[in-house]
Amino acid sequence: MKRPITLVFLLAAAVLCGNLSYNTYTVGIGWFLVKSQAAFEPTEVLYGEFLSPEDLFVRDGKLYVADSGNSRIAVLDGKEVSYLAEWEVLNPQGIYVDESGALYIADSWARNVYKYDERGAQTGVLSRPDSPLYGKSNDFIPLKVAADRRGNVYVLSQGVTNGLVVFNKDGKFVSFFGANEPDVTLRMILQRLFFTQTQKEQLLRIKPPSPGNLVVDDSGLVWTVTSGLTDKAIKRFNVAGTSIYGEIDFSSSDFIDLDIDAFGNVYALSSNGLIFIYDSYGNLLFLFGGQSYYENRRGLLRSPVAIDVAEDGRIYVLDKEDGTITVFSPTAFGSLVLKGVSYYNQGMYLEGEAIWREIQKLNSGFLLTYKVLGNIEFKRDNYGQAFDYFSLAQDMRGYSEAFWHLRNDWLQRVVGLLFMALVALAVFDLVRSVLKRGKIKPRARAGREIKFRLFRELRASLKFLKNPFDAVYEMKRNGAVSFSTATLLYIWMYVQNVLILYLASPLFVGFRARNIDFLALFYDTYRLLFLWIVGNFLVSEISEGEGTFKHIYIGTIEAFLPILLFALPLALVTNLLTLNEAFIYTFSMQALNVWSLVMLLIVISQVHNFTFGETVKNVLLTLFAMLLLALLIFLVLILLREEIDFFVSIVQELIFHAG
Amino acid sequence: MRVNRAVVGYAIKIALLVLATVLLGFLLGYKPGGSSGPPPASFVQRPYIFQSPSFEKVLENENLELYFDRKSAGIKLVDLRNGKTWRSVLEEADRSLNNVWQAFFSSGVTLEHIDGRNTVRRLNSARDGETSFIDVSSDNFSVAIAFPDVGAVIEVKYTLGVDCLDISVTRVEEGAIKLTSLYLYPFMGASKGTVPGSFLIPDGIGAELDLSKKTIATSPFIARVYGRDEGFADIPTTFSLDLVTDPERITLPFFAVTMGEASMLGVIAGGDLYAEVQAYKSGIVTPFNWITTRFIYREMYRKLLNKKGEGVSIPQAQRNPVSPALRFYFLGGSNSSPSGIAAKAREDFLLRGLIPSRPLEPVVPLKLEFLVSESEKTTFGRTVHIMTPQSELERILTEVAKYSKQTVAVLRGYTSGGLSTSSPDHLPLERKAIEDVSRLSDFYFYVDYLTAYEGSGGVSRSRYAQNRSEQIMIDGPRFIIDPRETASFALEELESFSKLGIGKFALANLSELAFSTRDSNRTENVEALLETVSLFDGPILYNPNLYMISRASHISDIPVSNSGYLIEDSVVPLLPSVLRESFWLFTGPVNLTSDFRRELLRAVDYGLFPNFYITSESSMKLVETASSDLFSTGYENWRDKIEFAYDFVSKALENTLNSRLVERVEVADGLFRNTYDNGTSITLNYNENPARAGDLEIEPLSYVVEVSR
Repeated sequence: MKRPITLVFLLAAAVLCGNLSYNTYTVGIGWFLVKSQAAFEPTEVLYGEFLSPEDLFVRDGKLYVADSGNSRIAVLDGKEVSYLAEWEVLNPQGIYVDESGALYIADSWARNVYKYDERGAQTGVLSRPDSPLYGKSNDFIPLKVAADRRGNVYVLSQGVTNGLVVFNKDGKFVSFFGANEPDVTLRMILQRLFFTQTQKEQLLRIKPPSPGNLVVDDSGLVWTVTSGLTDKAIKRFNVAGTSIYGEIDFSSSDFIDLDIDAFGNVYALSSNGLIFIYDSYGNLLFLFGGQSYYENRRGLLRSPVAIDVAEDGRIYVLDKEDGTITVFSPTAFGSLVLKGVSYYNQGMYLEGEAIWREIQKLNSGFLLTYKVLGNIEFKRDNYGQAFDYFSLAQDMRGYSEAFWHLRNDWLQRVVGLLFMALVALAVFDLVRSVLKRGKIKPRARAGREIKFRLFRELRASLKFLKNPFDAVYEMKRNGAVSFSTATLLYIWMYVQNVLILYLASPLFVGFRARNIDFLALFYDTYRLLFLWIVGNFLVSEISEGEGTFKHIYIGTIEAFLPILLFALPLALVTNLLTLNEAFIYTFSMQALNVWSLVMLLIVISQVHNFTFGETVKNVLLTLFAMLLLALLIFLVLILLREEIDFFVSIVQELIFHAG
Repeated sequence: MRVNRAVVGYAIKIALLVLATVLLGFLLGYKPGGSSGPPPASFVQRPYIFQSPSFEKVLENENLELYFDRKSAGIKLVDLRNGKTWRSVLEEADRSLNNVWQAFFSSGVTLEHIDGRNTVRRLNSARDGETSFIDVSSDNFSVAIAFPDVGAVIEVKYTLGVDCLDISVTRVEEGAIKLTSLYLYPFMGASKGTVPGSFLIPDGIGAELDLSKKTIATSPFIARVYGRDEGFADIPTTFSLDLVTDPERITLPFFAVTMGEASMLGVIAGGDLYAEVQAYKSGIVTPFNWITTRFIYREMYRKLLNKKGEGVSIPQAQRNPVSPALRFYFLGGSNSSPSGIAAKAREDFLLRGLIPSRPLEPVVPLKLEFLVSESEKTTFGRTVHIMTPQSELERILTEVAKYSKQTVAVLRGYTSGGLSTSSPDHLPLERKAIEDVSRLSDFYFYVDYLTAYEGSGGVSRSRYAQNRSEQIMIDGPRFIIDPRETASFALEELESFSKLGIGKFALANLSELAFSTRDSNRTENVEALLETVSLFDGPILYNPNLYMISRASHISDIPVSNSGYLIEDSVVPLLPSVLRESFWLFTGPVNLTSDFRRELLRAVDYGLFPNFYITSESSMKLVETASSDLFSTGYENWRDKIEFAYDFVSKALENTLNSRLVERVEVADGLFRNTYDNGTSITLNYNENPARAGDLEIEPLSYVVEVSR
């Protein structure tokens, strides 16, 4: 039934939009969220006397609203509104309209999904499946609904954690689909390990969270969004029910709805009024919006519940509390980016180049631009330029591949010269040795006396590499390595870590490695060492180990000599490696770590004069002691902070009153 | 276990020290929680029975007659020129209102106060007041309105002018119960339901609340003149993304009511620093449309009790130094349009010396702001990026001079170390960028004496402003300096600038921010800021508040929209209509907007000149700096667009210089026609498709100028 307009259009034409009520963010260089020009602006606010509306759907220019409080579906077509299923549904929570115009309504109170044709006649009802596969404990309270081109209907039922309830086109229950994985925490694992049977029975069964909403995209794939998850809040399922959507770097645990546009871009709505737009790979394009508490400003949402993207790119967001629909239209900048992304996602890099160059001019900090330009230059074999762009984009894969080509080019240029140089050197050496045959006497090696104690002790340290047993003995009995030399080695460990971050390839230490937080690095370098030394000393005192604190202090750093000597050269070598050769670095570092660990065990056993068994016991006790020490230090720091805060505030008050 | 005596001794000494410190603190009056003293007295609210007012004529002149009702202190004004009657109180009981609203709308004056539970309550002159005449003369009279329940008396003076009525509160006496605010004639110009009329509010550029349209807003328009007083706002203790923008400010203190062929302009002539404009459309709380000013005597604020942020809400102890005064102008015919209202407001401000009357140079100017340098934090310290060296500055201006008849150039980030290490100290200059400062005398140097980045030196914490909750005040990533300190910073530097031959300045924040601090009120701080601004001769100001405007030579960053409240139905360019005949008005940086072409169209529509924020180097260099929000400033990317922008705007506005906008009409969806008093009209098309207006065909996002010969 069509009625004259009861809609009040607050037509905020283009004139109104200048300074918006929200900021727009995008991912900038450095992978930070940075402000950007607005990508979407609120151009209209629609109102149709809805009462607690729960869902909306846009199809062919028509807007369908689940007007739950009024038990009907409102259809907005231009400036006219009509109603479907009035009084035939009780509490429509979800709606979906397929390409033929058939309307699906999820009614949570009636516990049915209704199907209506485009004329408004009811053509089908889906109720709780009788099939034993459905499970006795699963209720059927439909909240949201969607359908694919084959006529399969996907229903999100309240409390059903097995996934979406799938019906075929004949209305028969087929299966569950697209369940979330249970979220198992360390606490749960520990509970199950240590609790008694009775206690375990008191615990709730570990169940995965239910999705909050669903959508079927133009290619027929099912997407779900789940509130409470962050990492895998948005899922895109293949026919096998496996999620194939990439990891999202900037996500939210408050997503309540999503929609997919014709190019595969994802529009996700959070309960606090934020709209996240991702491309089909999960790259965040834009984040904007916000919550209105009392202000009623255009673009801010009070209690958003649903989002939909129309064919023309406009975003419709339904606000349950206000009963309004805010329409966000793309700005010139937003349209440009989305157009560029559509080329990029289809792999049409060169075709989209002009657009991305323009985007770069309009926003030089827009990160995705550099990824795209990197791909463009790569396709053109401009590997140097591609390398620079990928570096800006912090695209590891692209950076590595461009680097491979650059290295390859360099090698091709120099390998010939290198080979000739090597050959020349070999020939020279051969000639020299032939000419001087019989004339050269082997020179007696004179042992040099090392005058400086530091160098002497450093040389003695090298013995730890060749023969740690003897080296420990020399250290204990003869003081071959002193406390100060060991301290220098500890300092070198920190300096080395700084140099590694600064000099190693970004592929191995990250693109932001050079932004060094010196204090955090200091803490990271020494915290475990400190705990180990103190913990081992305390444990060894109790277990009557022979070693003193000095021996443990010196021995520990000597055990890490392989790392102290070889980590930095390895880090420099990473500048010659690509991601495909990462195993060289990883394997080498692992070898150094194992070597150091073995040396540590040897050092401990020799320092304290323990047997193997005693050494193992000592190490385990030391680890436990480290845990306790860490806890103790943590508690002391908290108390200390409270005390300091207290005294500081007293002093500030004294200064204020004295002033 | 034997206890070591020495250890016990130390423990006792430490405990005694802690105890002594705490006791000392208490003795010095450190007392978390509310103020001490007896709880305020309370009384039983009187019942209200509606009584129709009985008006007596008190004043009249050739144009206006003023009537007064002693019981409610209500007034009625009859405009003899058009027969329009402006009522300020309900004249008949209205069943759609409850007693509370009935009493409010039946009263000319309403006071708000705090009761024993820190709840705000109202006293209405009709229900709780006793009004008596003090003095009557030919063009004015005064009354005293006593509120015996709270022991308060206010004296109000009414002065009838040729086309206006002044209402001012000349004395306020309060008793034991503290007053928080005052409404003066809130129902003046009110109407019921949907009516052919509108409210106009200079929110941002200006907003119209169309009373003929039902509103979908559930909240009224409520905003402080000159912006919220940040001195009473809490500073959030946790970091979060800056998602929601601040609403626009009301920089000109007035509002207006249009009713068919008549309109009423309400200028807040006194107490503007403590005024709050409120506007309600029918359907929001009551079926009435009403707009008024609330004058704030005391703010409520949260007194923090601990570092966790827990606190109690309490009123200010001292009353604000408010002298409420409203001047109502009554307009008719063509003067009752928004353009006529803006013209009248301008006339009032001219009369009071708040804006200057001076002819402007008849050229269309262009404004360019340059970022000279900015610093970036690196692994080992900071590095300075030279974004626009002097040679490039000069080259760019030479190029621009080929088409721009007048260019206003502003320099930012000229301080050694870059923009984010400057303010409040702006010297020495960055020598890597500035070769010869003597050639820069025509540039305006951007200075900010009110805020400082955390990393910039020269400011000790004791000079930062603290709000009433004793938190250090911030403005985004910057700390706010106590306004009373700004003059000393400015004076210290002005001499040095003068020696360098620098005499032109663009002042940031001084003219926009108005706030209280822990121990000074808004008036004192604004006076301090006025003193600072007065040290500069003809500076550029950025969207200044009215009290600062007269000191400006040019005004930049004029907003091109209002706050976007749902209650606002459309944009009305009130701000430029009032100011454009006295100042060159510039937009915000056009290159940092999301729609370049549409922004230029707005500039033409509102009579604003284009403004760009430029660097010679690519803005990519700024991504890891504090200026990372400058996402597109590279001159090479904007060279052609700057020329286009100037051409686009000047071709329209050169025909409207020194003329007044007399009419702005929406001829069709997205199509507007502006008509000026020199006969020029500009028809603007905001649509993405060509549009037709009569015989005119207008390209998308473009305009057509018709010049009358």
